[in-house]
Parts: sequence; C-alpha cells; structure tokens
Amino acid sequence: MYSIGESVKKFVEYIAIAVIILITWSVLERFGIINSITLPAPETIIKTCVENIKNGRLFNNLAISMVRVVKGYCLAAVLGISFGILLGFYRRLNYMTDLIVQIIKPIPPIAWIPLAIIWFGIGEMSKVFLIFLGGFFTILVNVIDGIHQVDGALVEVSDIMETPRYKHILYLVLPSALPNIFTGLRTGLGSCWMCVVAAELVAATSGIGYMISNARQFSKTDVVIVGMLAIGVSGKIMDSILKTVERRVIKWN
Amino acid sequence: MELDKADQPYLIIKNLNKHFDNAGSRMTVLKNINLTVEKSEFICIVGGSGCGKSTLLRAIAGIEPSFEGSICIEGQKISFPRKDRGMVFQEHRLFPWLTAEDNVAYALNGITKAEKKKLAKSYLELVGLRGFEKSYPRQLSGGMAQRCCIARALVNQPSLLLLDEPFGALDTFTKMQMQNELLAIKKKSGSTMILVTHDIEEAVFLADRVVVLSPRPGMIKRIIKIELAYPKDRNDYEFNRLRKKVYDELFDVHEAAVDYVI
Repeated sequence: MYSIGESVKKFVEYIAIAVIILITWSVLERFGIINSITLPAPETIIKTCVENIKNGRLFNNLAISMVRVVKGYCLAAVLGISFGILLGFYRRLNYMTDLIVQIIKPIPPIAWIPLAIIWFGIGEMSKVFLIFLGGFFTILVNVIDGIHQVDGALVEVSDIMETPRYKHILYLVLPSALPNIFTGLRTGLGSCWMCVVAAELVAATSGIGYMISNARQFSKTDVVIVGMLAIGVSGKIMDSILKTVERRVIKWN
Repeated sequence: MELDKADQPYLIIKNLNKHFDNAGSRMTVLKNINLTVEKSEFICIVGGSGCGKSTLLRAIAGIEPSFEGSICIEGQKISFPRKDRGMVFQEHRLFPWLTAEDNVAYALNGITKAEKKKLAKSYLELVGLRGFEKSYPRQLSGGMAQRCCIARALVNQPSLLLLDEPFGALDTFTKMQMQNELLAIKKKSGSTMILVTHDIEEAVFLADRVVVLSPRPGMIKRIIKIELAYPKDRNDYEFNRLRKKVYDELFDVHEAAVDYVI
C-alpha cells in the first residue's frame, strides 16, 4: 500500500497532463486563437454541463442510453459466453460455423442500421439489436480463444487422474479461459457504447446520441462536447466496475 | 498352466519401440526396450537429454498413445491413463486457480467433499506442507510446489508412482532434502516408483536398480543393481564406486584405457 503522500503524488501524476491541456486550451481561447464556436472554452463546457445537469436533460438522456447499453450488452454477454463455450468445446461445430462468423464479424454495426430499422422499427428493439451485435462477436471470439488456449500440460495432468468430464470443464478449462473471457467482456462493452451512439444519431428522439446530433443542428458545440464527455466517463466507470469484478474473480494472479 | 499372480513381476515391458514421424522422415526414439520391475522396487532411468527416457515414462503412464510392443502392469496391458498410476513432472503443473489443498483434492473422485478435504490435508502433511493448505501455487517456492505435486500424485494411493525429473529445477540443497523425503514417503506408502533423471548421484541415491539408456535411439545399455544399506551415505566409498560405474556406462569410459603421451 502507498502512504498518503505517495497517493497524492500518484494522483497528481494521473491528472497532470489533462490539467495542462485544459489550461492551455482556456488561455488560447482567451486570446482569441481558438474560435469559440469551433471549440468552446472549458469554462463554457463546464457551465453548459451544470446547466444540463440542473434541467435534467443530461441525466435523462444518459439514463436512456445506459439502459439500452445494459440491455444489449447483457444479451451479448450471455449469448457470447454460451455460444463461445459451445463452439470452444466442439471443434467441429466451430469449424462449421467459422465461415459465417468470420464474414459477419467485420461488418461494423453502423452498416446494420438500415436493416435494423426495417426489421425492428425505430423503437427500442432496433437499438438493443445493434448494441448486441457490437458486443456479441468480440465476446464470442475471445471466449472460444480462451477455451482453445488451455494449457496442454495441465490437460495431461487431468487425464492421468481419470477426471470426469464435468470436473475437467468446470475446474480446468473454464478457469483457464477466464482472463480471455474478461478481455472479451471489457472490449465488448466499449463496442456497445460505440453502437448506441451510432444508433441514436440516426433514428431516435432520446438518448445521448440524440442529444449530440440535435445540438449539432443548432451549432451548440458545447452541448456536443458535454454529450461526448458523458459517454467517455460512463464507459470508463463501467470498465472500472468490470475490472474490479475481474480482480475479484481472478484472484490467483 | 496358469501362472500364480504373485509370481509375476509387477511391471513387464516387452519389445517396446517408439517412433516419431515428422515430415516424412521417421525417427526412432526408443528401441527394443525390455524391462521387468518388481513390486515396491525403486527404478531410476538415466540418460542424456533426448534419449527417450521421458517418452518411456509417458508410455508407462498411458499418455503416449502409439508404440510397438507391450507394457503390462499386474498382467493388464496399458493403453490409457489410470489414476492407479500417479505422475509427477519436472514443472509443477499445479492449477494456478486452486489452493494447494484444492489441487490435491482435484485428483480425488467419487467421495464426499469433506472426505476429499481430509485426505488432501493428510497428504499435504505427509509431504511437509502443513499450514500451506490455503496457499495458491504462486505463493509456494519451487520445492514446496513440487511437494504439493507429490501429494497430488499420492493421494489416490497409486501402486505405481512415475516421476519425470521431479527435482530437476531445484537447487542442490532442496534437491537432497527432497530425495531423502521421497525415500521416507516410499517407505510409508510402499508404492513402486520409477524416476527419470539425468543426475547420476540422484539415481544411485534413490534406486534399487539404475537403468542406463543410450543416446538416440534409446536402448537399455545396462541395468546396474545398487546394493547399499539404508540410509545411503553419499560420501561412502561404495556409493561413489557405483556412481562411477553408472557414469562410465553412460559416457562409454572403459577402464585401463589410459594412454600416457609425453
């Protein structure tokens, strides 16, 4: 553990560059080097942020987007892990589905927007579907990889003991795949945030993405930036939560 | 006429040959291995690296799938692994996500959790790991991890324990201590043991008989009987004579072949 002085020093180091950028930015604004419509000053952004918190617009929109992300992400996590385990264990099935997975995987979820709207309308379903697509393949591929990467030396040990299949899977293969599964869950969460904004930019009347695209039409760049930061901060918080869970689960490292 | 089971040797290896095929060329690793081992005997197999000694051990364990010839234990032919044969490898191969106790308990099947725990505890105590039941492998030193592996291999009370250079990665002092402890464990458990090593002193210290393998392809050059009283003294004259005997056999040194050139 660090001492208090040490922690303060660490924290200062952590935020130093961000603070320097903010100060430079603010100074440049003051001297009129940066146009305040192209890029509003930090003070303006903070003011807009407070305003939007006070009138509830920021949190309302954020909550709506958050619910969508959580829905799509949970669906992606559950199905990604389940199918990942299935395909990880049955190599033949993995081989048979590989072509389809490899072709669909590189298609960015944004390209799915037209189809999603035609299939599910402009309601919640189409957004959840797009978010699901964003997370699903990342999680799926990582789970399969994790299962395939189980250490052959440990498998040999397990074989020598005539270990029953369920125990082999539960206590050897799955724990050894856990680091990869968490990598999938964390990168998958990032893609889910990207998708929700893309979906809301195109067809929505609420959500952070809508807030951004609406503000753009009125050239309110300060609101655009507040929306962007809200997404960044939410993503960081959710990732930290996952990281904590990961540390709790993978406690042997 | 049927042979009485008690009269049969415990382990019989007959005309064992093993090849590895790669890229069209065939490499013979083990050639014409014939060996019988008695119950409760301690056999050490020595040979240089790549002579196939580990492959031989893996074949006895049942994890080396295809070979010519046969290996029989108590009259039963070996073709797949059985928990009746425990194995310890050079690397500890403990599961990093399980505690020492759970690693040992993993080997046990078909009994209740409480019984598993009790057995795991008692075998960890046997190998001197009392108080480390809840430690993860990364928290154990090399010697302790290897002890834990021995406990894991012994917990099913195997009639045969196979050890593949188990102390190869340990420092000299830890190694000597582990060798003493292994002999003590053998006395308690009565298991037959086959240990593969490239350490001649280790072989003479542990074995009742030392099997010397030739370099590739591995063939049995000679089997040297170690008739020393226990506890063996590493500095004893007879001990060192036997050590030299194994050494000479391994490196083809022939006595009275010394030339003096001035």
